[in-house]
Order: sequence, then C-alpha cells, then structure tokens
Amino acid sequence: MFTLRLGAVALSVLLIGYCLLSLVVSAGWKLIAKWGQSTSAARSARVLFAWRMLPLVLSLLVTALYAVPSFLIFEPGHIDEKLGPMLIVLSVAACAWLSMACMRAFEAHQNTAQMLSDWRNGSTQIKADCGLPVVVTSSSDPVLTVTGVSQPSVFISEKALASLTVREFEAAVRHEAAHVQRYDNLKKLLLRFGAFPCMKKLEAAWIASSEIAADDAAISNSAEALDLASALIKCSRFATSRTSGALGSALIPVNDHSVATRITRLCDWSNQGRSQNRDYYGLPLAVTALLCVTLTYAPLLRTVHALTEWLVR
Amino acid sequence: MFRILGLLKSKRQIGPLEEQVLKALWLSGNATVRELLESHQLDVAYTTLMTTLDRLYKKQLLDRKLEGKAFRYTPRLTAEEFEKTATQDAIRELLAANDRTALPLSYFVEAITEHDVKLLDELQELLERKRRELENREEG
Repeated sequence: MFTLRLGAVALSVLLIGYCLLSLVVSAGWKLIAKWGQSTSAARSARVLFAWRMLPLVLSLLVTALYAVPSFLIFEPGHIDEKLGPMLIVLSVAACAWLSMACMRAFEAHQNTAQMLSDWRNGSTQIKADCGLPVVVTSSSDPVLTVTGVSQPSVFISEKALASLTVREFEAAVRHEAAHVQRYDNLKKLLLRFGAFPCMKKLEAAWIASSEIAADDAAISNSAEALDLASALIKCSRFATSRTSGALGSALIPVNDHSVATRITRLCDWSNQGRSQNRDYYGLPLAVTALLCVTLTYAPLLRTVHALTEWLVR
Repeated sequence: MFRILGLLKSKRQIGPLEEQVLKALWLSGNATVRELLESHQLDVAYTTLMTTLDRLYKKQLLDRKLEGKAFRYTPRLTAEEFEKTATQDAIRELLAANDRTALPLSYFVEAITEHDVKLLDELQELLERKRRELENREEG
C-alpha cells in the first residue's frame, strides 16, 4: 500500500506540475518570441524549444527531487492509509496522459518508418558533400526533406533535383544538414511527449525560427543566400502543385507567409549580426539553480510533503 | 467533432455579413460602397459596409481600385471558386491539425496554397533583381 501511495503521489504531482507550468508557458511564450526577434534565429529557436519543454522537464525534476524523497522520508511506512478519491482521479489521469504521450511518440515513429519505406521504393542514392546520404525518390512527394534521428537521410524528388542547379542543390542540402546538426528531428519527437492544448502556436514559432536558423547555417555569403532563395522558390512551386494531393504531409499548420519571409530575408542577406553566437549563460544558470536547490532543499521537502498529505486525504 | 466545427470557423472562413456583402458583389460584378447601399441588397450602415469591404479586401477576397474619392470593389473569386477554396482550406487545416502529420521530419518547404503562385512569381522577380545587383557589384 505504501508503494502504491508513493506511485500515486508521484504521478499526481507530475500531472499537476505539468499542467500548471504548461499554462504559464502557453501564456508567456509571446514575450519570449518577441525577445527572439531581437536576437539570432539560432538562439531564438533554442530558447523557444527550451521554453516549450520547460513544463515537462521541470515537473519531472520536481517529482524526482522533491515529491518522491519527501514521501519516502516523512511518510510513516507502517500506517495503512487508503488512497483518497482526488489522488485516485489524478493518478489515473496521469497514467492516461503518460500512456498517450508514449503512444503519440510511437505512432510518429511508426508513421515515419512507413513513409520512409514508401519513399525508398524505386529510389536511388547519390553522393553529396554534406556527409548525409541523399536519396532521390521517383514520386513527387517529398520535394525535399531530411528524416531520421539516429541515421538521418535527405530525400529529394527526381523533379526537384532536375530543377535545381548544382549550387542550389548544395545550398538546400546544407540547410537540411543544419537541421541534423541541431537535432531538430529529435526535438520534434520530444515534443510528442509534451502535448498540451494551446501549444500549437509556440511550436509553430519554434519551427519557423529553426528553419531560419538552418538557412543562416547553410550560407556564408550573398551568392549562397540567393542560391538558397532560388532553391526555396523552385521547391515551393513543386509544393504548390502537389498541395491538393498531399495535404497530410505538411508538418505544421499551413503558413502562407513563412516561405516568403525566408526568401525575402535571403534576398536581403547581409553578414552583419549573423554570427553563430553560442549561449554562455547555461553554466551560470545551472550553478545558480543547484545552489538554490541545495540551500532550500530541507525546508522545501517538508513543505512538499505537507502539500502531498493534502492530496492523499 | 468540436475540432472540426472550430476549424470551419477559422479565419479563412467569413462571417454572415461578409457573406452577404460577397453575394451582393457577385450579383453586381463590382461596386462602390454607395452603389451597394443604393442597390438595397444590404441593410447596414455606410461605415459598417465600408469596414466589411475593407476586411474582405484584407482577406484577399476582393480587389479594389480608387475611383475618385471612393474604392470600387471586385470579387477576386467567383462564387464557385470561393466555395471550392473555402472547402480546401477547411480540409487543409483539419489535416494539418491531425496528429498523424506531426512527424519528426524537416521539410525544406511546407505545403503552400494556390494563391501563393503569384507571390512566388513576385519573389522570383526580386531574386533576379538581387542577382543582377550582385553581378553588377562584383563586376564594378
């Protein structure tokens, strides 16, 4: 019974923490996005993704660092206390939520595997300098995409390949390679674990930033920027012609302006202010957080236990 | 079901007054605010009609041309074309909202709408202009 109560308390704290933090995140993401406009796309993408994942990570940490230890330390093991109705409802809801998250991730993985299998039918592999295998598909879908987390590959349709010049193709593949370097596909898979209503716009903002960041990483001068812009226009024309037949393949809700924004941005490309700045505030933040946890750990454990007691009854 | 109803009311769809105004314009072919009011097809205030027409113009459903001090509005789509586009948009949003579409893939470009063909032509022109400027800079 003690173990059952421990599990129920942990699941309930996880769910409550996740929901509350998700509400905060969905309410505050526009401020982050606004700040992101004044910094590089790469940094903006990193911060937006961190903000999106914050509820899941923080609620897991609170559960593992506070809820479970406080229960183990302060809850008398010999008392045969029954589970209260609220605890039962919350833990069942948490179980359902966790199962759904795992199912969503599994479903995404399976669907991707099925799509890759279809695309590989009748395909050929070509060599490119990007270090990634490039697969040319006979079908018109996908126009150009990078797939996979552990073994990424670039897929390009025969028609798209034929329409691109060598320089345009290289710029486009460098863009896809940038996605791989930033683990964007893995991040998309992680998003499947942290589903919550009202997060679509935040996710779309992150995807838009990560596309621009990949554009930035793929180019180093104006000529390359124009090559990439040209590749975008050509591929967009193929995307337009196949829209009615492959609606389901769009990753995010259709955004008419994102491609236009990227192309305009590339046409006006300038090297100023586009340095690939790294974030150096990660370490100070981690040290500060660790200090705070250490200093407040004992009193907080008691408070958390008092709160979970309220849940159990 | 609620998600489907929500999507059908998305911003791409139009409100009841906007629909009435569009129908009136489809009947007359093109009109100014005053002409629409004088046709007695709509029982609304001048400013309401002006705002509605402006909203439809911003939604890219109408073209407008300055005629003296007033705009003359013309529908960009026929009634049949509009019906088809609205249905396509609703289906597109519905499919985009479907969980099956959120796969760990990075598309170079997203699916874009048929309206964007014109936009792509304009962007192509911009690109060619920039290419010429770059070539001139390098030669100079």
